[in-house]
Amino acid sequence: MKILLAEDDLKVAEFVVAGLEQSGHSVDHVTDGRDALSYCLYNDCDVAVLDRMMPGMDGLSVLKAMRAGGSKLPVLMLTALGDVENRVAGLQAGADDYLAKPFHFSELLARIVSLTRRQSETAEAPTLRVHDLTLDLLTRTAERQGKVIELQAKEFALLEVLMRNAGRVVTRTMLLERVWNFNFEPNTTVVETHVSRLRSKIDKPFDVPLIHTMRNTGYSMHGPR
Amino acid sequence: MDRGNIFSGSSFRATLYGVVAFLAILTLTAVLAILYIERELKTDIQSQLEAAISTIQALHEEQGTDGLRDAMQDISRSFAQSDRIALLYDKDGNRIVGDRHVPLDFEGWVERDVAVASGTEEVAGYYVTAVPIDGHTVVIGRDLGYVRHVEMVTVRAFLVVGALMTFIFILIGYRMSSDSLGKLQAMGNTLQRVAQGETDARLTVAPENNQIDRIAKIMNVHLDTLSELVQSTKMSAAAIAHDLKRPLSRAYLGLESVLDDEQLTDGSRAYIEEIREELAGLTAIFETILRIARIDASYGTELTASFDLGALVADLCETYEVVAEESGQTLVEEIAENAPVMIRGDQGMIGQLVVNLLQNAITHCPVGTFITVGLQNRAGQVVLTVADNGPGIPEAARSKVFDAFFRADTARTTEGSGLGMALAKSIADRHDATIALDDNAPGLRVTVVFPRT
Repeated sequence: MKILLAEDDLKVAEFVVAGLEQSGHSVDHVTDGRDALSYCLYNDCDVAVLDRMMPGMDGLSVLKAMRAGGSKLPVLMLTALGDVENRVAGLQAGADDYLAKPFHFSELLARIVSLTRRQSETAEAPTLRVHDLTLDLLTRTAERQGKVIELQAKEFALLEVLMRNAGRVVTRTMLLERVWNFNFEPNTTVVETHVSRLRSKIDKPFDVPLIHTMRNTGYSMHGPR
Repeated sequence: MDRGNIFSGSSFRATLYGVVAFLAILTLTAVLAILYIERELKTDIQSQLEAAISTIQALHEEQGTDGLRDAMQDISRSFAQSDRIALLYDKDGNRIVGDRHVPLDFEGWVERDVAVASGTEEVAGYYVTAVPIDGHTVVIGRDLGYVRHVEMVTVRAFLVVGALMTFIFILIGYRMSSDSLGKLQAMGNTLQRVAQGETDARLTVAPENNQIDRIAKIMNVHLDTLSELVQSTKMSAAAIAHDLKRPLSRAYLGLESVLDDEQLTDGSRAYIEEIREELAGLTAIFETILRIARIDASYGTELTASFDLGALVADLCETYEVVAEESGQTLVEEIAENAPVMIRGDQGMIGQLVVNLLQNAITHCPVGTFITVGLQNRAGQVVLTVADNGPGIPEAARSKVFDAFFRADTARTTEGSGLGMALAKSIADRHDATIALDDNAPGLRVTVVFPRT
C-alpha cells in the first residue's frame, strides 16, 4: 500500500515512516501543506495522512482543496487539537478519520488499514461472516454453528465493528468512537468489560476462539490461521 | 426591583432624614409665623380701636357725659354691621349703650367670648378693652375671627408646602435609591457572571460619575487584572499542555519502536510498557486540562443543538451497568420520563459529564454498592441525579471536589487524575446547568439541574 505522510515534525515523521515501511507499506513524506496538495494532484497513492498544522498550507485547507477537486483518496487527519469541534470540522471537511496527538503507532497503523478496507467495502453485505460465525444485520441476530446467540444492543454493535474489520486490528479508541460514540478516554474498563461479555457468548461455548487480544493495542477478529 | 431594598437603601434613608429635618424647621417657622401674625394683627386692632377711644375721650371733654353717650351711640350704630363692638356702662355697671354683654372683670387688652349678635347663644373670641371715662366704662373690641382666618390660611399654606416637599423628597429619594440600587444590583450580577467564568464581563460606568460609578471604575481595573491573571494561568496551563504534546508524540513513537526490537528482554519490555502507561496517564491529564480550557473559553457562546438526554442516559446506563457489575456493584436506572427529555447542548460533552459521574461512583465505591441514576422533568427543569450508598464525601470537602486536582482520598490510592469532576463542572457551567453534591445518607448524591429549554 502506498501512503502519503504530510507531517512537519521530522522526529515524529521518522518514526512513522520507519514503522509503516516495516509493516510493508511504501511511504512518501512531505513537510509542507502545498507539497502535500501537489503530491495528491499528480501522484497516485492509497491513503494520505495529513497533519492539521503544517507550514505553507494547513492540513484542513489541503483536504478541502483535494475534495473540491473531486479526489476520493482516504484521508486520516493528525492533530494536536483533539477536541470535539476540531474533530467535527475535520470530518466535515472530508476527512475519513481523525487521530489526536500524541498517538501510538499501532493506533495509526490500525486506522490506516481500516481506512483502506472501508473504501473497498462499498457494497454493503446484509450478512457478516467470520469463520463459522454469522451476523445478520437486518434481523440483528448472531449465529454460530447453527446456534442462535442472544446479544445485548452494545454487544451487537461491538461485534459488528469487529466483524466489519475482520482480520484487522481494531484499537480500543476506535471501538470507543464507533460503538460508544465517546470522543474521550474513559478511565474505566468499558471496552474490556464488554469484550469479555461478548467473548463469553460467542467464543467460550465453542472450541475455536474468534476474538483475539492484540497486546497494548486492541482486538482483532479472525478464524484459525 | 424589590421595594424593600429601595426603601432600605442609604440614599433613601438620607432623604428621609432630610424630610424629617425639613418638617421640623417648617413647623417651627409656622409657629413663629402664627405668633407674629397674631401679634401684628392684634396691634393693628388695638391701634384702630384706640383711635376710636381717643375720639370718644375728645368728645367727652368737649360735651361732657351727654357727648360721651352720643358718641358711643354713634360708634355703636356704625359698628352694628361690622365685627366690632362698642358698649357703655354707667358707674353702677348697667349697660346704657350697645346690645351685647361683656363682664367687666378685666383691665387692658384681653380676649373674651362675646355673643356674635344680641340674643344669641353663639359666642366668638373678641379682642376687647375697657376704659373708664367719667365714672362710666367704655368697652370696645373686635371679633378675632379674621385673625383666626388669616392664621388658618397661613397654616394651610404651610401644610401644603410641607406635604408637597415631603412628597418630592421621597420621590427624589426613591429615584436616587433605586438608581443606586439598580447600579449595585447590576454590579452584583456582573461580579456573579465573572465568578461563573465570564471573565470579560465588566461593570457599566454611568457618565454622572457618582461614588458608585467611581467604585465601579476601580473594580473594573481590578477585574481586568484578575481576568488577565486567570487568562494567563489558563493559557499557560493550556499552552504547556499543548506544547508537551510534541515531545509526548515523539516519546510514544520512540518507545513503540523500541518495543518492536526482538532482542529486548522481557524485563526491559515490562519497564517500557510501564513507561508507556505512565505517558498515557500524563496524556489523559493534558487532554483533560485542554478540554476544560477550551470549554471555559467557549463560555457564553450559544449552544444551538438539542438532543434527548433520556436516550443518552439510558444508553450510558446500559453500558455502565455491565462495568458496575464487573466491579461487584449494581447500577439502577430510574428514568421517570417516557417522553424524550430534550435539552439544549452538546451531546458529546454531556455524555462525558454523565460518564464522569458514573465512573466516579464506580471507582470510589466498594463492592456491593448500589448506584442509582435518576432523570426527571421537574417543573420544566431537567434534573439528573447519580446517587450511591458508598462512603460519601465529608461535607467540608464537597465543594472542593470541583477544584482541579482535588481528591477526597488524600492518600491518592485510587485511580483518577482529580480532574473528572472539574471537567464535569466546566461542562455543566457551559450548559448553564448547576451541579451539586449532597449527602445521600449514606453515600453521595450528585445532582445536575439543566435549565428549561
